[in-house]
Amino acid sequence: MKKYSILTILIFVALVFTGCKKYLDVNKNENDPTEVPLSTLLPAAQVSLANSLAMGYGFSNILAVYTHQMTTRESPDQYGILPSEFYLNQGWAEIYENALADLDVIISQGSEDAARSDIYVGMAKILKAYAFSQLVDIFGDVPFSDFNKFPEGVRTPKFDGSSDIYPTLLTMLDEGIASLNGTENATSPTSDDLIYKGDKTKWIKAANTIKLKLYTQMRKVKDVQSEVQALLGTPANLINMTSESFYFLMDH
Amino acid sequence: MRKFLLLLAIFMGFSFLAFSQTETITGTVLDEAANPVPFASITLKGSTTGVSADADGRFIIKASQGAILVVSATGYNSVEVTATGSTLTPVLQKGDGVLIEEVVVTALGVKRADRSLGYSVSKLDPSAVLQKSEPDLLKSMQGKVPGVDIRSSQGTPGAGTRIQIRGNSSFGLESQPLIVVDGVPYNNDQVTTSSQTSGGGAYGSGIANLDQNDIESMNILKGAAAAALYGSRGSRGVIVITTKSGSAKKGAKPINVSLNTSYSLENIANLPTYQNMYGAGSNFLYQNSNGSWGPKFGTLDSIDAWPEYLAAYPELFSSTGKTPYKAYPDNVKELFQTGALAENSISVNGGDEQTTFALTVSNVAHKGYVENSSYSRNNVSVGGQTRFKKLSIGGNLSYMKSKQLGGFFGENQVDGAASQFARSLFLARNWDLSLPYEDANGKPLIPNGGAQFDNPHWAAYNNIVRSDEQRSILGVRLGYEFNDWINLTYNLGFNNYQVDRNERTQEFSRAANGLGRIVKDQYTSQELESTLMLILSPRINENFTLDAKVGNNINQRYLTRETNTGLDFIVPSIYTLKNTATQSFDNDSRSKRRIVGFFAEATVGYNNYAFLTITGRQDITSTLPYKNASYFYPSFAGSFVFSEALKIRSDVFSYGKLRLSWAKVGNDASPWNGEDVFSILTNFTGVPRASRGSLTIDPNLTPEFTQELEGGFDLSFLRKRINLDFTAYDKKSTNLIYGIAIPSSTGYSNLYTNIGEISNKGIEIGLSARIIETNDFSWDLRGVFTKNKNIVISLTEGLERTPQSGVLTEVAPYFEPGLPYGYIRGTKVERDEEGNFMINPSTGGLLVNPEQGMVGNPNPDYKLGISTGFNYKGIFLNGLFDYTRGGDIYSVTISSLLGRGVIEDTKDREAAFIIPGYYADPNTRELILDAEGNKIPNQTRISANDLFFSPNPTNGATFAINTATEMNIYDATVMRLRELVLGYEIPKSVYSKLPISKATISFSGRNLWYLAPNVPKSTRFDPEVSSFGASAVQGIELSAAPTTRRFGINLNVVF
Repeated sequence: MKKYSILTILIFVALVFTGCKKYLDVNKNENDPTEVPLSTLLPAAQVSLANSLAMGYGFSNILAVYTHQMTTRESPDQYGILPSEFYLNQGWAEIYENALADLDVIISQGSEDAARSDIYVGMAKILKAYAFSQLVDIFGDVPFSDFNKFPEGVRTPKFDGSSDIYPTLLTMLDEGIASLNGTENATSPTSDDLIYKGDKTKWIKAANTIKLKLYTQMRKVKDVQSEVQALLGTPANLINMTSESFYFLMDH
Repeated sequence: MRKFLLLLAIFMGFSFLAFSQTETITGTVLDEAANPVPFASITLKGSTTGVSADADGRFIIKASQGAILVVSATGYNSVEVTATGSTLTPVLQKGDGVLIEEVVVTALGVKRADRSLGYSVSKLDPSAVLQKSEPDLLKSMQGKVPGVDIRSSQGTPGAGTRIQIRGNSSFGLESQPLIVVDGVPYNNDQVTTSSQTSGGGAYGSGIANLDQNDIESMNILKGAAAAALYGSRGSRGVIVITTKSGSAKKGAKPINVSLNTSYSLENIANLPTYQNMYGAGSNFLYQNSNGSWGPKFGTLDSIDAWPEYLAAYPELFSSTGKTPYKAYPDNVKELFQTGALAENSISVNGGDEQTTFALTVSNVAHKGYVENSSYSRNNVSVGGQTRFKKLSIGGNLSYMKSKQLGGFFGENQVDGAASQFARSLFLARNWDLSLPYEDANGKPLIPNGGAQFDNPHWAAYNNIVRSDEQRSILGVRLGYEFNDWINLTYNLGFNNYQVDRNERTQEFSRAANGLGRIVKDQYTSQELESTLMLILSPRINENFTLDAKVGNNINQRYLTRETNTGLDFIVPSIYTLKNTATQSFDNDSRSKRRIVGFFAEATVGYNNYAFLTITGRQDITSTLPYKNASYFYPSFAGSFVFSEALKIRSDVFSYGKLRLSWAKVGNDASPWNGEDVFSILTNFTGVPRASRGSLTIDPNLTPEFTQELEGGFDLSFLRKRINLDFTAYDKKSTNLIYGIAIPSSTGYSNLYTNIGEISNKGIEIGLSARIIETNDFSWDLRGVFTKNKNIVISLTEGLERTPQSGVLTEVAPYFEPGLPYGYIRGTKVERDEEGNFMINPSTGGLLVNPEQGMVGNPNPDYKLGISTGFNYKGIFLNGLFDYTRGGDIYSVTISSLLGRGVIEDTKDREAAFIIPGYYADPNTRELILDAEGNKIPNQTRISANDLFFSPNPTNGATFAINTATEMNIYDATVMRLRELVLGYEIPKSVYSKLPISKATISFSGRNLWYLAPNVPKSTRFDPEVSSFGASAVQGIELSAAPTTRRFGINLNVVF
């Protein structure tokens, strides 16, 4: 009687343990995906980048108040700016956590399948370089080389010198152009590219124009005459028409 | 796992052969006069298992023929009877009650003799929570159990209540106790649809729908040692409830019927004392403003009629467009009504020796003192049990349906918020709110216009939060007795809880941009609990006893939530999502979690005066990374009845027991937080978007652990007429899991990880005394004392502090090492090194430091509850007085009452005021010194108006509106006459011809008197309100609905 019941329990316990691992494997989040197509990340990154810079939402709001385009109750109205300024924090979080994070996902995810994703990767690199150039222009030294290294254990990214960041951005722009010119049969974005609807040529023009802007910014610390002349030498490679503007409409 | 098997082997290693037939024995415990003795306890001699008799002395116990039963009760000598036949009628003689055997329901529903417990368990008699003019179980427990902190929220019907045993032991995970009803877990979750800062309802909490009338017994397991067998959720304490339907009893007659009916009226308990000398305006000049700082009544005949009212109803005003400038002394009082609470319940039970059943049907209908606020609830519970030889089968089913209606609450200034109490308590003294509240188009009208707030009458009927809740419980219990010392039990419980919420904001409201909004929220929680347990109580020898349990527990919780918002009604008065111009999906989620646990417990007793209990539990959870998913935790508890061991019992000293325990309990993470995910965003110009989630999850999450050391004693004196229990504990919770902010430059905003430690230390004292006892008269006194210190010990390196929850920029609760749990953080005014105010010479006001700091601690220093009862020939008077010492509250109500100049405290205003302090430079924030280097006392006069409504919030702050957070923090100390009941047990002679066996009528009063000594007197503010319901955020009040006072009449009839 007793032996029998003990045996039953032991068998039961053994059975439960073998079934346990499978029974307990229910922690997969079924509400949200762990991977998404590049075609959803590109427009998300573009909107976030615009929001982080835009008036009424991000960094530009403060300048808009300074230049009397807008008014506000907060300190910028008295030409003061505090580190706790809402639009400053909003823009900072938006550009790093969303715009740059999504661009990095496009670059890493796309690079695994370069043959098909090179165009997305190229656009992402150009946008990333542009985003960091804006951060440097606003703040000077900003986290750059340690950005998005959390999985590698970087909890508090260091601030890199602006003079170290700028040259890397120029390289990044060249890589972007190379990716765009790279694979012939890579998938091209269409309506999911909110800026140029997938037009490679316009993207290359934009990248060159951004390079021109970066050189212009650097002119007082470095002689950039030859680089600027090279770019200006082929105006067809630069944005030179309204229809080529690096922008998109925020209408709904 | 290995540890578990080892334990199992140890328990299995005992080989005793003790076959004998056990039988069910029923009986009634009687005294010498053959009257039943209530609540006697009956235990098997030499064992710690036993049962307790009901109020009529009836009991059922399983024992083999010839076994010795020990029967004992307070105030009687215990007797030993031999089990023979199937019925017993033990007779007790009055005496000193030597071998009192209190039986307590412990973890997993196992009944054990109190003397064998090495930890504190409080028992609450169900009659303590019945017919007290309070339909919420938790609220009716306030002040009655040591170690338990119960906090109510809004004063409207069905609002949530928080319960906390021995403090908060987690940052972000649930830290309210687990509530187990007939083996089925409940939780006290609050489903929060909209932010309670910017406009949410007075949301209810999960346990409020439990039927008090169906409760048979309630035991509160407070410490980790008591609750260790419950696993993860046990670290927060456990309330073990047995229902009548879940433990059907036979009763005196084949069918027993009992009826409870109550009716109460309620009123607002704390209307402020208003000044009626000055009307709207500022600095004695009339303005159509919110504040009553205008001219004295009588100095101005008339004012321009309020523009919105004049435009809508010109006929109500004179042709000059003027209206008299006079006080409306009762304008606030008239916003409220007399509420009513009706409670009815009928319970039936019966059966025979083999089969029993029980049924309870109850109804609550509660209409609040606020217009259009109500709560109604219907409960049906049915259960039964039967035996086939050695197999016993029991089951119960219960169903609850409730409906709550009420308005929106929240801060009254936040953009887009439309709190129904935005101005209710602070109406300008010359406002006439009895004028029509809306125009012909249904647009709300207010005296000062500008959509500054929604007219409260209009809001009551137009901005409505409706919550429909349903709960279904199914419980199945099987038991098999192999012999008189081996029992196998199996318990399966299913708890299905649904909240269906509908929040409607009408067109023209200040909220939702005046477009109208509907939010639909559907929440479902399904919990499945299965427990298999083998109970062994082998007979060892004369001196030693052993009780052992081994078992398996499986728990699954599945949640679904769907929340959708529609904005801008297309056609008026149709409140559907389809009838809105834009919709958004706020929530569309599910989650599932599972835990498998194996546990064992062994209690060794020596000569029935020394006991040692050891438990172990191994949990495997689905919510942690697999490598950390399996964790073990033990507990040790010892008790020593020294009065018997040392034979020091006397007429004066009746009983003495020492307890000591140590336990460790593990807790898992929240489900579906195992990997980083992307979120799907709304389409942008038709283009679908997805973005990487900003939360990243620590791949090395480990379980949270709570370790608790507890010690105490139980003493009884004068033949058990005086009983004292004392417990002290030291609880430390480590590896606590929380989402913390990390720098945006990591690419993420938050990290979900193990971050820190919390400590809870405290003492609990329970004292009961029967001071006078004669044949006709008795006087009982009972006191409970609770003190807990809840401190955050450490946070992960590099993290200075982390917010508990976002509330407002100027005030929010935080966690920070060395500071109290959830301390209130906000701005402070500048002070010199002696603590004097620094005054701005140009404004005469205070300088505010823009840096925030700790401004308040919401945790009370201690709580005291004193109840007393008199009984004279069937007439009884019971009262409960409680006292909460300390704890701070941030009060928007007090700030507004003062700042708007509407109360007596602000009436004395003709003089000018000087704030005591010293001049300081507003730029350098340093004291200005005179030529001799002395501080210069403030001599700048300010008006009473400016004293309470800061003219310059940063450099000329004062004491109520627009000032530093610290100025609106008040000490929440409060004392209260919570309950008073006068009743009469009608003598049998009155109804001798009727089939009635007992009838009692009583009158009850609730919250009849209170005093909060440290709030401005004429605010009459009752600090027992808060804005975040049953959530862990406490001590913040943003224009909450005040508390209620009730008077009721109750009838209880037993047929």
